[in-house]
Amino acid sequence: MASYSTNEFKSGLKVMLEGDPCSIVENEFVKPGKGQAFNRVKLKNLKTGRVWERTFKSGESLEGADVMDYDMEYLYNDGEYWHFMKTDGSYEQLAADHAAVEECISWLKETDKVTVTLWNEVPISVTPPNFVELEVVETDPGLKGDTAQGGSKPATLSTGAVVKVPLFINVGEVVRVDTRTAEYQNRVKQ
Amino acid sequence: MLREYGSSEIHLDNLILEQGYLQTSPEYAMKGLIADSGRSIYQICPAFRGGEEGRRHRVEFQMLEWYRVDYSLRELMIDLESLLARAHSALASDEVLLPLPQPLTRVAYATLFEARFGACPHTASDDELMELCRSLPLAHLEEGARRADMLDALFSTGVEPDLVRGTLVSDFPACQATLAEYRIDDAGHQVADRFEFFLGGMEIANAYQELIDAEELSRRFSENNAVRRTVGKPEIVDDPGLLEATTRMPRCAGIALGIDRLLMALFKEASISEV
Repeated sequence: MASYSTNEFKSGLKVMLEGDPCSIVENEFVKPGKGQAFNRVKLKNLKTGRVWERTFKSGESLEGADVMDYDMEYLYNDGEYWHFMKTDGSYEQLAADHAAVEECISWLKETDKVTVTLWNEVPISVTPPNFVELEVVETDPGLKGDTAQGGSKPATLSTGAVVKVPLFINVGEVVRVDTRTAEYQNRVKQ
Repeated sequence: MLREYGSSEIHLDNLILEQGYLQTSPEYAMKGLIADSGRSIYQICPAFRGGEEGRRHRVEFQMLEWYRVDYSLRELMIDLESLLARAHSALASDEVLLPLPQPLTRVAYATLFEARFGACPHTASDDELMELCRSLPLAHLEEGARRADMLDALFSTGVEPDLVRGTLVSDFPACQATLAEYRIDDAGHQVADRFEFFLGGMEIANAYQELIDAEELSRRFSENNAVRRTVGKPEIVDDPGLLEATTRMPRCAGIALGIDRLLMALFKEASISEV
C-alpha cells in the first residue's frame, strides 16, 4: 500500500494510524512565522467512528489503508452475522459481525440500501441511509386532533430505536427519521 | 527580490534559482538601505517561502515592511494602529468588515501563556514544556525538541486561535529573539523585544526592536546553522552585507505585515486563496 505525506492529506483519504484504518476529516498546515511547521489533522477511526485530533511533523507520512465503500442492500440477520448484498448487479453477498454493525444496528431495516465499508476485504462499518422509514411498535396512545407543535413523547420503532415523536403518532404508523441526528422528520402515509 | 544570500532561519526554506535566492522577506536588503541613508523606509513586495501552503499560507505572499528610525516598539504600535484604522475605513465602504478595536489590546506573551498553561514561558524548564506538549497532545514533537519549537507549538495551538479581536502581543521568550534586541521585562526576565499583531486568530504582523549588534547577529546566525546541520538542512552563508549594515544601522524599529492575511481576516475569508 502506498504511503501519503502530510501535504497529500485530503479529506476522505484513508490511512493507517496506530493499527486502525482512519479517514482524514480535516488537515491544517500550521507554521508560526519563523517557527517549525506542523500539521494539525482530524481523523475518523473507521472501526470505532471516533474522531481523533493529532499533530504531525510536516512531511511525515502515513501508510494508506485498503478501505473500500460499497453500496449494498441489507438482507437479514442470522443471529450471529448480518448479511448484505452488493447492488452493482453482482449480487455478491457479505456477512458483517456485530462490531461492524453496532453503530447503525438500530436503523437497519431489511431491503434498505446502506454503505458497507471494507478494510482488507472485511466489513468494519455500515452506514445507514440518511433517512429511514420505520414502524412505531410502542408509544403512549395518541391524542386525537392534537397536531399542534410542542408536545413530544418517546416511541419505540420496529428496529428497537427510540425517538421522540409528536403526541399524535400512534402504534402501527410509519415515521421518517434522520439517522444522523436520530430525529423524527414526519409521518409517512401508507 | 533576488538575493545573493539566503536566510539561515532554521524553519524557513529558501527558494533557490540558478541566479540566487528568492527573498523570504525584504529585511536584509532594506537594512542595507537604512544603514546607507539613516532614514525610515517602507516597501510592499512579494516574499517567498518554500513548502508553506495551507489555509493561511501561500508560497508567494505580499508583505508590507517598514522601519522607523529612532522609534521604540511602543511608538511603532501606535504607527501600526493608525495605518490599520486608515486601511479599515478605506475598505469598510465596500463590505462589512471584522471590527478593529481602537486602541488594540496590548498584552505580554507571558500573560497569555500563563493564563492558558499555568506555566511561565521564561522560567519553565524544557521538561515542563515537553509535558505540556504531551498533554495537548502535540505528537509531532519528539523528546529533546528545541525550546523555541515547543513554545511555538503550544502558543500557536493553545493561544493564537483565541486572538480573534485585534491584539498586540509583546515580550517574546528570549529563545525566539531572531533579529530582535533583548530587554529585561518588569518581572526581571530577559525577553525578546518584539511584538506580533494578531487578528482573526492568526498572526498578521511581526515587529522587532532591530538588533544593531553585529557580533550578536553573527553569533545567532552561527547557532541557526549549527541547528541546520543537526537536522540535515543546508547551511546558509552569512550575508556579509547585512552584517556590515548592522554595524552602521541607527537604532530603529521594524515591522513586516502580511497583506493577504490582513485582508483574509478583515473580510472574514476562510482561506488565504480567497483574497
